[in-house]
Amino acid sequence: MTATLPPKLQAMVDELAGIDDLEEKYLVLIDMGSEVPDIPADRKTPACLIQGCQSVVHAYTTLEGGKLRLHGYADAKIVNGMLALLVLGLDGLTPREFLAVDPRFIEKTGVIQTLTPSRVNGFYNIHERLKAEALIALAQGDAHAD
Amino acid sequence: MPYDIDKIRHDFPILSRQVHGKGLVYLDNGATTQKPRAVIESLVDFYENHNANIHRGAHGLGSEATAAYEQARGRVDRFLGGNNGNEVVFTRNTTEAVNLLAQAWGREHLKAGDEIALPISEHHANLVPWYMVAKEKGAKLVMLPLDADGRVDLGRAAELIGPRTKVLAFAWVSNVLGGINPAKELLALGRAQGALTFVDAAQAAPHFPLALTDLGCDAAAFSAHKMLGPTGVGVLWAKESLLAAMPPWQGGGSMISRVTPELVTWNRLPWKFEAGTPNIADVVAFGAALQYLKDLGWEAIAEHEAKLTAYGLARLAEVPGLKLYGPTEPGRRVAVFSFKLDGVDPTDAGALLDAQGIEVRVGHHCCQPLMDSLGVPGLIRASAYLYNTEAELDALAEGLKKVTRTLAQPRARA
Repeated sequence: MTATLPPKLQAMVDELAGIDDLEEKYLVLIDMGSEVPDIPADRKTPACLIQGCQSVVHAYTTLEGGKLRLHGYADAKIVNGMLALLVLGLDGLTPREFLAVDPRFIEKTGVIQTLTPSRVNGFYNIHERLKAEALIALAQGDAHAD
Repeated sequence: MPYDIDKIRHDFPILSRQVHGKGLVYLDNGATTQKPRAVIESLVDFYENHNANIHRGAHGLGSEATAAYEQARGRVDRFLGGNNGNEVVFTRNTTEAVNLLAQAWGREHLKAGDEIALPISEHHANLVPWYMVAKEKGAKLVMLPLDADGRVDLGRAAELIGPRTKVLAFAWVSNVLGGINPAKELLALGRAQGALTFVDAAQAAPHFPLALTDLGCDAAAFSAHKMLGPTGVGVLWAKESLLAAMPPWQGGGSMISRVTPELVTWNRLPWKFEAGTPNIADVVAFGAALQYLKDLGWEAIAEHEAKLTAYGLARLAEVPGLKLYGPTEPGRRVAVFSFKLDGVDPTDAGALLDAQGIEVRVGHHCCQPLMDSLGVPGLIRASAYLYNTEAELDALAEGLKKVTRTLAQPRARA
């Protein structure tokens, strides 16, 4: 597992990891989610829908000046909080930097141990989608460089 | 004898544990119930003192194990109001019992154009097995709508159950809505058309003795684990004439009388339907569960649960933004409460209640057609049982209020 995380994500993970009480941990996670901007209605399409999530989750990336911008929104607040770790914690990295982050950082937060496997998979499915788009961005960037 | 709830709770070791540092409030009994010490000790006693395979060994242990297993069958039979153990077949669970019936009976009797009538509220366990055999035989499912109370609409059922209806199958008690369906009236509609009648009693059996011979169905099924018994044991009850006419479903040891490469003949009932080594220890422990329920007294259990039902309805009505589904009159339902909270995703509610030590179920409850008909993706379900208390329903109501407050007003973080 990657030893160091990008500073913003590291701070979020540390904050969650430092809370023992599960209820308090969920509340902080929900608050993190409340900082995620909603996405435009025209992005709430099947193309951006994450498959395999119990609740409705949309996520996608854009590329700005070689940096990956992450966007997403989940109807369920706890899932939205997990989404926040990705779209706030990893926003603005290069595709290569994004791909270097091991998504198993979620285990350190202590929020997934109590969730059902389907919701834990939901988190990884969101990451998989972002990763796939990062790989495309990386390939296109490399092709451009060639 | 008064219903001593403290003493009863003391019989269930798990109820004294904590979850996430909070006292456990277990309200997911519709999914599975907790086990009293008598059931746990029965399992241990079987493995420590009586374990052997049954119906075959010419030795003392085998005889003891066989006697214990068949004694459990007798207890089930008496619970069902029967006097004929040949009508009690042990399966893995209710689901397997429905599959057994749908396959063994349906493959022989269903043909293209036949109809299988089921309420829209059916659990997938009493829908998918019928769907599978219907697909195979060219038959179709006819869904019976519900009335405003969330129980089967008898008027509409009378219109939809007709000469093409070859099977009428329904849950006596809905696992979501908690409503007690008008079983006798529905069965009369099915019988009048000569249909096979099947009652899914998985959510009924925990709450009242089934008296199936009096009810007037051809077959019924339920699971041990929803009524204090172990997981891995279900019961298919069917009239002896029906079981005798049905071919076996699974083949193997124990279910045969004579085997040659050219011809196999079947064992007599009920063993014709119990291929292979059964779940012996768990069946024996289920017998202990039935004895525990009998000792508590079904009337006393019903009285306690009726109080919980009325109390739960009143407390949940106080939660802002809560919409309850199913009958509002206590006499028409059991203490299974399904609801939604305005603007709250059920999965969030489930997680936040869990963090308070309150265990409920969220989701579609294996009833997707019902969720579609209600226009909801899922619901929150709190299901109480004989060991739950009014104080626990208070905790649920207060917990839900806290959930709505939390999700309505995100706090600013430091």
